[in-house]
Amino acid sequence: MSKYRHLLLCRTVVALLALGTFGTAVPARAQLGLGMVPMRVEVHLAPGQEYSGSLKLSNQSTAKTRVRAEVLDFYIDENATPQFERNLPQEAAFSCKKWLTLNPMELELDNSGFMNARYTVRLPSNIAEGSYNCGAGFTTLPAAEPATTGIGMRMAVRIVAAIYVVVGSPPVRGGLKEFRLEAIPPVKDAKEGGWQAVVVLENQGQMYFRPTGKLEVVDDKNQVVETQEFNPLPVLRERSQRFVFPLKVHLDPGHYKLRAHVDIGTGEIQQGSADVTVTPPAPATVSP
Amino acid sequence: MRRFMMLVLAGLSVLFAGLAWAQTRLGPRQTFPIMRSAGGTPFGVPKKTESNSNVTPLAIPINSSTPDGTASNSSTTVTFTVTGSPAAFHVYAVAGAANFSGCNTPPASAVTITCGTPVGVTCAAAGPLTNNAAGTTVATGTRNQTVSFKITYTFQDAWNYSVGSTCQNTVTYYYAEP
Repeated sequence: MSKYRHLLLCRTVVALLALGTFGTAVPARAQLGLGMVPMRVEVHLAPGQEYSGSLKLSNQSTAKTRVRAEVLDFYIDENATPQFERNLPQEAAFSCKKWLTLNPMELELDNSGFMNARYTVRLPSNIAEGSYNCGAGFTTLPAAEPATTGIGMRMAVRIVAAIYVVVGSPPVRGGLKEFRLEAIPPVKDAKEGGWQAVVVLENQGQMYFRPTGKLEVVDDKNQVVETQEFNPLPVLRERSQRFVFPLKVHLDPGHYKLRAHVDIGTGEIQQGSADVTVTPPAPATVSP
Repeated sequence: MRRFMMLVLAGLSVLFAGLAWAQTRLGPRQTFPIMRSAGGTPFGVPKKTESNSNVTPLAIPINSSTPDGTASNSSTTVTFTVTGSPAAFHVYAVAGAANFSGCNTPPASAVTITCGTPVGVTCAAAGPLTNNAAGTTVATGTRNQTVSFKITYTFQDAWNYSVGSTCQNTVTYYYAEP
C-alpha cells in the first residue's frame, strides 16, 4: 500500500512538473493589440475657446507598432451602428472635426509601451450654441514584413475616441416618435426568422442626448412577454434615431403592444405605446 | 522520501496559486488623469473608460492551391476588453483596399467573413468583406466585459480568379464606444 502511495505521489509530481513546463514553454502567438483611454470625451466650451487634452494609447502587441491618427466625422446609422468616416458631408454642420487637431499624427509604440496623443479643440468665435461631435481614430499600420506566398490577409485595429463639444447650455428637446415591429429574415440554415421592435426617438434640439429606460412587449392578455433596456446610444442633434431591439421571445401570430418608458436626460419619464400585429408567415409557394 | 514529495507538492501548489493570483486583474488601472469638463457630464458620459482590442495572429494565409469550388478557410481571434460601461460597442471589419494586391487582384468581397464562438457579444450575420467606409459589422455588445470571437475568412476561388504568387489585403477591425 505504502509503495503504491509512493508511486502515486511520484506520478503526481511528474505530472505537475510536466504541466508547469508545458504551460510556460508554449510560445504566445503573434498578437496585435491597441488600447486607449478615454474612449469618450465631452467638453463644455465657449465660442472662441481652446481646449487641449490627451488620449493614452497603449500597445498590447508582441512587437513595436506604428499607429496613424486621423480626425473623423461620425453618426449613428439606422441599425444603431456608429459610422466613422473621414468626411461625411451631411454631418458637416454638426461636426467638430474641423476644429480638432491631433498631435502626433503618427507614432510608434514599443512592445507593451504607451504614449499620450494630444488633442486640441479650437472653437471659432462665431459658433452657434449646441453640441458638436467628431472622432479621433488611431489605426495600427502593418509591419514591413516580406510578402508571404499565396493569398493572405493582414490584420489591423482602429480604435476611435468619440469627442463631444458642447457650446453654451442648449436644452435637451426630444421624445418618442414612432414604434414598429419588423420581421427579421431567417439566417442561413434556420427555418424561420425573428422579430425586432424598433423605437424611433426624435431629437428636436441642438443638444445630443442619451436615453435610458425600457421597452416592453405586451401580449393581448396584458402580460409582459419581454422587456429590454434602451441602449444609451447618443441621439445626435436635429434628427430621428432608430433604436433596435431584437426580440428573444417567439411571437405567435396575434396582437401585441409595444410600450416604452424613456428618460432622455431631462428627468421626466416619457411613456408611449403602439399596437402591432404579428401575421402568420405566407405559405411557401410550391412549383408544379 | 514521502515527506520530500509532500513538500514538493506543497511548493508546487503555492507556485501555481501565486501564478494564478498574479494573472488576476485586481481592479481597473487608474494611470490616466480623466478630463472633466467645466459643465460636468450630465448625459451619461462615463468618468473613465479603458478599452483595448486585440487580434491574433497578425497575418493569416488562405491556402487556395486548387482553384476549384472548394472553399479555403482561415481564422483570427479578436478579443476586446470593455471596461468603461459603454452604452454600446460595435466591432466591424473593413478591407484596406477593394482588391487584393500583388496578384491578379481578386476583389475583397471574394472573402466572406463569419463571426463565431462569441463570448460576451452577439455575432452579426456572415457577409462579404468590403472596403466601404461602413465596413461589415461583425459583432455588437453592451456594458463592461471582456469579449472575444473568432472570425473565419472563407475564400472560394472556383476558377474565378487567377491568383499570383503573393496576394495580400488588410482587414481593419474598428472599435468604438460612442
